[in-house]
Amino acid sequence: MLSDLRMDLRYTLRTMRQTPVFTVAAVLVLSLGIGATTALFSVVDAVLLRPLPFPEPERVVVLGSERTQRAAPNYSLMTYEDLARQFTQVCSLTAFAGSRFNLTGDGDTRQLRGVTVAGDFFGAFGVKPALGRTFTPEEREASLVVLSHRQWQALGGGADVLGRTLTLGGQPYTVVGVMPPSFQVPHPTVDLWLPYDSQPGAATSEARTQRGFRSFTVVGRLAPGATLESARQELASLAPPLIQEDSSQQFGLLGYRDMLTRDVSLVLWVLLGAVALVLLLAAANVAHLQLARAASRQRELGIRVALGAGRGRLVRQLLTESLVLALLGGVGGVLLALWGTDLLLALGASALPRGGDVAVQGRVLLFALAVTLLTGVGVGLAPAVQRSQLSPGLVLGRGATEASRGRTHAALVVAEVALALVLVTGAGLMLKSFWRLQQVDPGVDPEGVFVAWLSLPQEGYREPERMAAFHRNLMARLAARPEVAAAGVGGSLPAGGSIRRSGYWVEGTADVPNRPTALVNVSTPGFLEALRVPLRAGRRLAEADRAEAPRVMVVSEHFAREVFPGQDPVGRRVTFGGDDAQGNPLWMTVVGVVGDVPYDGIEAGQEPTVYLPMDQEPAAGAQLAVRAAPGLSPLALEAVVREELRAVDSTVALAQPTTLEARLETDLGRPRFRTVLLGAFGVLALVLAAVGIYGVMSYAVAQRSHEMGVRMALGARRADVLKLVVGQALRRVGVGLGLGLTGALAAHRVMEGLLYGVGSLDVSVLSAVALLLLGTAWLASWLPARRAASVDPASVLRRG
Amino acid sequence: MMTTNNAEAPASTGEAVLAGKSLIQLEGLTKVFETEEVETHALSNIHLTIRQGEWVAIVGPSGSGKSTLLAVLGLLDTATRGAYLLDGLSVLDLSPSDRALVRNRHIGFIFQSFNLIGDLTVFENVELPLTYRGMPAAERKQRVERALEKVGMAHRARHMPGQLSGGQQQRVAVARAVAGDPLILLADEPTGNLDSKNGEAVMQLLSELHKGGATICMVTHDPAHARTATRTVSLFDGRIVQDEQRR
Repeated sequence: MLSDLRMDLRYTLRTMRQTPVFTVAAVLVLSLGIGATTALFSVVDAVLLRPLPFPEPERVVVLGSERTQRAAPNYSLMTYEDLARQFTQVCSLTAFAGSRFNLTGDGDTRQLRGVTVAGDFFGAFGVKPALGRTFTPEEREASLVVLSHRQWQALGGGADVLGRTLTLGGQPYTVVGVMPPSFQVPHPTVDLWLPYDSQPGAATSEARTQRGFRSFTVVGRLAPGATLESARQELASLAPPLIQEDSSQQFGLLGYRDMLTRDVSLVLWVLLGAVALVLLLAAANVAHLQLARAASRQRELGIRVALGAGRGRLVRQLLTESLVLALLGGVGGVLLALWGTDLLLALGASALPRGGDVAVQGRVLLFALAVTLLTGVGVGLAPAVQRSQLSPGLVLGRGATEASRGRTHAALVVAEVALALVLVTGAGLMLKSFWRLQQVDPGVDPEGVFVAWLSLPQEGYREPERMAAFHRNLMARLAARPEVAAAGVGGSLPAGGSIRRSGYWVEGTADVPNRPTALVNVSTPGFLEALRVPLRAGRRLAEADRAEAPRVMVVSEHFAREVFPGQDPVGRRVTFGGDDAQGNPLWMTVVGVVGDVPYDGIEAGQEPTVYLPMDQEPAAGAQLAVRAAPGLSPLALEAVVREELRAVDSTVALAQPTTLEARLETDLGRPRFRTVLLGAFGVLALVLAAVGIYGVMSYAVAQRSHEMGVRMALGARRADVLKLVVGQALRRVGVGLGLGLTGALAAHRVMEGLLYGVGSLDVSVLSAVALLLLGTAWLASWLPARRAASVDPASVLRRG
Repeated sequence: MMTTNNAEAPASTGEAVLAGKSLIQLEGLTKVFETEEVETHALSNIHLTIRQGEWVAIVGPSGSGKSTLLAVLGLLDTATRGAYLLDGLSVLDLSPSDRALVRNRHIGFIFQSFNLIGDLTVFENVELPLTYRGMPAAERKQRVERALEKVGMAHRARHMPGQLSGGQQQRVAVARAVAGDPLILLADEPTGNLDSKNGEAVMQLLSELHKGGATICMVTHDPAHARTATRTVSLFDGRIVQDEQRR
């Protein structure tokens, strides 16, 4: 047996050396297919399959909607406290929210991304610190901080960090621990964790006093003996009173990993499915080559059978050949995957949850091996079985018919076209969707706008008046600079990642428990001008809209349309809650209507938006937008802003300086990632299908040159032969398109959640793709057909 | 019997003894195969006339130019020099498309290895040249059935060539050649791949076609079969060395 294997291997290597073109072509095609599949699997593995780096990660659950695809909704601390008291099926319940802290006292003020936590945060995840300890639920008011591994490294990475005091938001915090690098809750760029109640004024903050202040993610660990289902049942029984308090809340429970990955899992599975189809196409092409080569070795195989080789022995030899080819392709594929994963990360995979864990190792290599072996058997089995079935007499004699081989080739072409249709349709839909996204009016003029985060330290900015004064002062200084055309500060910027929504009530209508919500963008005068948001009616926010002035608001067209259909909104009054000194609702008068801006991203689209004056609703954290004077690069404004910031208050940090154009580009990052990948797979599919059709038709023409000679002897003209060959190819392509259409429609349905502005049945994409494939098939078959038509009948017939 | 050696006098053979009109006229036909190193004269200065109703056997040793002559006659190959009139039309300078048209309408081929197309039924094989002619389906059907009846293969119309014996395949090939009512049948060793019994049967079939008025030009190795023809043209080194007419 072993010597047989050695013999087969020796013979295989010799055969491969004798047919270098075939060998190189097959190995390259397989490398491409296996490499692309492996690279994408490495992403799927890291993001979707690899367990989270917590003990018993499947027992970590998060509060949220079980139905929607969006990220988990946030809850108020009051709701969390109510739940924590009663929830028995989930232990270590914790609530946490992202926050930005200015780190001062160590050179320039730096903004750090922190997480404020309530409850047993570290117990819920069950992760031990790499250094020191974590803080306990009992230390809720202690000024303690735990650093991320990343931030620890940034601070020097020494063990002496424990006990060190960091001034965060003007408040001293003692470092008690450092988490391991794998602990990245809730995101990889987190710098530190600290108790929520350790912050000055926490006890009287909105988060502690208002049920509508929903900023916290609620996570826990299933109690011993509890299951997700039992916890859900208990939650369902606890939810009604909470819903009475706040009817817009949804109380579902899902696995933490599911929540992390649910808005990316569809795209990743779609991409993995697409790349698997590419692999199938590559395998089909190699199977073509194998069939053609087996046919040219028909005589050799016949002799082997005549000499007593059994069917199994013959199959084994042919399979050895395809397995060796596949293994070579697998090695090439893994090398390609190593490079491919870097490419995927550069294309945007690094921005996926746990994208930093993407690597070609362990399970990914096992996957590559499994795919390689399956491919080897797949591409070799059909030719092996087919060849081993031939009787030696038939094989060695003249006149063996090749009808069954022709059918296998035809089936492969049909399959290739069907697969290509599915893939190219997917790519076409994604391209159209991306094109539609790019066509969306961002509602602003992003060119020439510098943007950055401004974060006021809590120390010194506890009073709203001081916050308002700071913004007024900075804006006045910036506006006086010749480099600045307009400047403003707002809570939200397009693709800025900070969204606040609040429930509103219109004067003269009945107040309902479940108020509709609108995006609230607290901004300074100049903000809308800096973004060039067009004014539709009334006026924009002005300097006169000070704290003591009547409360006003500017609304978006969407808000005006939805809230005041067919009416003039200017002069109408709306409240977002709160009472005035007399105990009346705090009404704000609409003074203007401006264009719509999709602040939550272009994919999410426009939503009802209101702009409130910063002086009347001061906020500590906001985003700066400065429009450069004509001819000046917006990036050049960073120095100007820093200079003025230092002049106003050097403790205020400027973070993530960039341009608005760059922000909007980033917003398209995820759709671009899937579009580029699916587009590449589509092109690859088209090329592989074309090569497959060309290969099959070339082979068929070579096999049928005698028949062509006979046909020409009987009076067939060049056009008749061209028609015959191209017609045959197009008939097969037609069958493939028919079969592929079903798959393409299914793919369309699966991808619906990833598409923007593309209908449920996009006939234009489907027909364009079908025409593209037909055109490709026509070209791929016309070249061999031309060769067939130039057959010299006399010489062909002379050869017999 | 009349014997001519075209090395001495160009042949305008058989003109005196045959009443039919001149169907094929070759004047000084020469075919040279050129390779990088050597020039081979496959046919040299051939003068040959074939009249309507004649059955000409072309004989000669291997390499004498028989098959090349038949290929040129069938417009499968071109001549290097000379003239070729088919039914009064000069056909040597025709375009490939026009040559295909002439082949399809005026010439019927019978090959040694039958050359039936394995993926087509007997009926479809016989129908094939008629489809290239753009003939309506009803007429094609009529002609195919008539041709198959003529060769005694009507009952095998739905069979595939692989299901037939060699003799039967050649009869189908004959049916295909005659279905379009060509001016001339060109047969290249029509019995070469058959046993003697089947060979005799095919010769009998050709004989019957000839009696029915068909003009036949046949390349053969077999002297007995050559004698069945009414005229024998012998080739040697690409030249006609003998032209023998029988009554």
